[in-house]
Amino acid sequence: MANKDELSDILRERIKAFDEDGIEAAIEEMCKEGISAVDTVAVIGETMNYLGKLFEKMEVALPELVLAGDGVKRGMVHIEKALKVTGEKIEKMGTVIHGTVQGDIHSVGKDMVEMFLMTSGFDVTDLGTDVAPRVFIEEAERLGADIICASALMSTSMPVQRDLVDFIEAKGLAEKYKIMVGGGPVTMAWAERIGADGWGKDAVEARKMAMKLLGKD
Amino acid sequence: MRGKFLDFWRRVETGPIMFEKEYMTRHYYPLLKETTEKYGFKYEEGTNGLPKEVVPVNNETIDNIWEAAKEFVVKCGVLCQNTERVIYFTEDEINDAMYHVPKKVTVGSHTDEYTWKHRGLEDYGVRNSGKNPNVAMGRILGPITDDVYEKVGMSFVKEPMIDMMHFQGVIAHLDGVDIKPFSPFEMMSEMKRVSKVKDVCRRGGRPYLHDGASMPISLQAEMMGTYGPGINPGDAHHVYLQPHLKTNYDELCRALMWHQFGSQTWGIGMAYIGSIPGASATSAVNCLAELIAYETLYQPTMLGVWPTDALYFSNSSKYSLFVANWAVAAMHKHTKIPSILGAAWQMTARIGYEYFWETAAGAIGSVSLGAGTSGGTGEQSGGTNCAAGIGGRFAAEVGRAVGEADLKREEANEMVIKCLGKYQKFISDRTAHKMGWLFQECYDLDTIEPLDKLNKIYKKVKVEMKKELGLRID
Repeated sequence: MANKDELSDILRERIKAFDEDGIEAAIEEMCKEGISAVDTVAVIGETMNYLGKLFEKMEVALPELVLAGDGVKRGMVHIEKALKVTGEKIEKMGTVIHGTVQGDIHSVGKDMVEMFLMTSGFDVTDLGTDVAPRVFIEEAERLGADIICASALMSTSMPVQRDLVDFIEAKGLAEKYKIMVGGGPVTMAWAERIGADGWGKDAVEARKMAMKLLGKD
Repeated sequence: MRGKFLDFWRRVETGPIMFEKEYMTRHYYPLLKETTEKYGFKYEEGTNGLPKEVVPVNNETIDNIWEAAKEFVVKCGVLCQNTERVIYFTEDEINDAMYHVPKKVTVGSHTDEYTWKHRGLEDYGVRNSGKNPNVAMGRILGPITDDVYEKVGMSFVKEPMIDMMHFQGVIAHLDGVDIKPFSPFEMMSEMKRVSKVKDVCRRGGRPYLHDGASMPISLQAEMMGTYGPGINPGDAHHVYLQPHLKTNYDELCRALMWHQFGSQTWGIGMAYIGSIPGASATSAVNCLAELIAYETLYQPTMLGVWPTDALYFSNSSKYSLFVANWAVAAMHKHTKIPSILGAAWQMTARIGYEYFWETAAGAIGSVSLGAGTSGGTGEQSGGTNCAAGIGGRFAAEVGRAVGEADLKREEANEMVIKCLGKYQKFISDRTAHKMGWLFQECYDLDTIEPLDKLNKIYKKVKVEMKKELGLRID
């Protein structure tokens, strides 16, 4: 039986190699070997954080981080199973759902924000582009989100961010979720005008704001 | 060969199936990285933290990046997002497309006509002509409020050195309604934008001035804008190749529509540096690959380079200029295309000292490499009311000075590095967008002339450029 340090090193190396299948297999192996899920998650968090720093320095590209993130997501299924058995608890940074609003298919800025949040320990679900306000709400309810992030990269799609805020208020969910908006033409003044809780000028600012909204800054 | 692109389009329905995420993570980026490394293309900085070769000097390296980009397009293809199939091209098909680029391009019409001819590297044509050796574009980008839109537009129209325009600035609110995509109000807003732009051009005495606005609006709204006083024959339209090497039905429909109208189209080589295409070297190969794919798939008459830093939006940073300049150099060395607009298309700072230096950095690199100049918009193109004609004028003046000085690329490289020294630190510390003024803070809204405080800064930068760069701009 491999020991905890050896398995942790294997997991670290596979995350750093963006080996999606290998990451899942390593996490599954750690769970099978009875290694604490809390410890496994700590290894994942520390290594993803390391990759996030390399990403900021452009030493890692976004597609590579996506592969690592997908491997971790697949591995989390095994961790959740293990948690049910051991009764351990994991403290999450927060759950975020993120999409580009209806009528807008820009995705690069959205993807950047997601990578920054993911490597900082947030559980991030990407809803894709051209997402209707109703879908944001349905997914937030389904996933138990803390933050709903809505990107708009065109001045003509910004009003859909306002629709999202209006829909959430109309459904009586305003107290349940923090709403963040962002995108090239989106300003803090616009975020305040439509009643959003936070705004990020770019991916770096969005991460700071998400942490602030959840009191983790 | 004209018409071949329609054959390529059939591959949208017949090419190999690849889901978009798989395309990005397991196909596009690994191939880009591998090809860039194979040809040994690198981004290198000096001890000053600035690129060693922001203006390409080494001809062998230019040839290498050209081969890398061409090979990358052949291996990677272009993904159609609707059918999730890859359009592949052979090397022969790409070579054919590159051979059949337009030999000359005329924009605008009547008394506002301007014809572009191919210029190679360090090729300035007839010197001392009093003109920028290549086209000077003025560009309004980012949101402009209704109360100053016509004044901002007029500030460009009245600049005689500006040869062509991109009158952008989507109308976001009309008759009490916020404009949303695919709504009838979006159609109305585009009708209004077009009529305002044409009216400003007429009042400015340049009724047929080229407008190539890149409108991020639906196809139906764009079509609505063409009716009535709509487009002029000398205008052009942006058809998008989605970053990074992707297309979709909507863009193919736009390309087809403008081709059947006999209208000119244009497109850009992009790269969101630090995101999907990775760092500067791979981004440069991607940007050039997009120009090649663009010309092959859509057959536009004009191209531009528009890389930007993904972490802090900048079209004029050390990384962006590096990417843009290498792509332009390779395209101009290996094709006879006459019509590429160089970086930077928008500045990072608002209108002021740094904005002029950013404009100069872009223009020096672009003109020494055979491309046209762009200028006018600041604050990362995201800020409201941050465009002014003086930026387009300054870019054209710098371009003219580069031609009159018969600048060699080594000299241009040294000058651009000095320009970067004036403002890169504010991009690195993410404060550039807060510097300078908005249009209404530095222009007289009655006469539409720059205020004294702006003229002083404009003259100060010219004096400094003469003293520190040895480039005389009169």
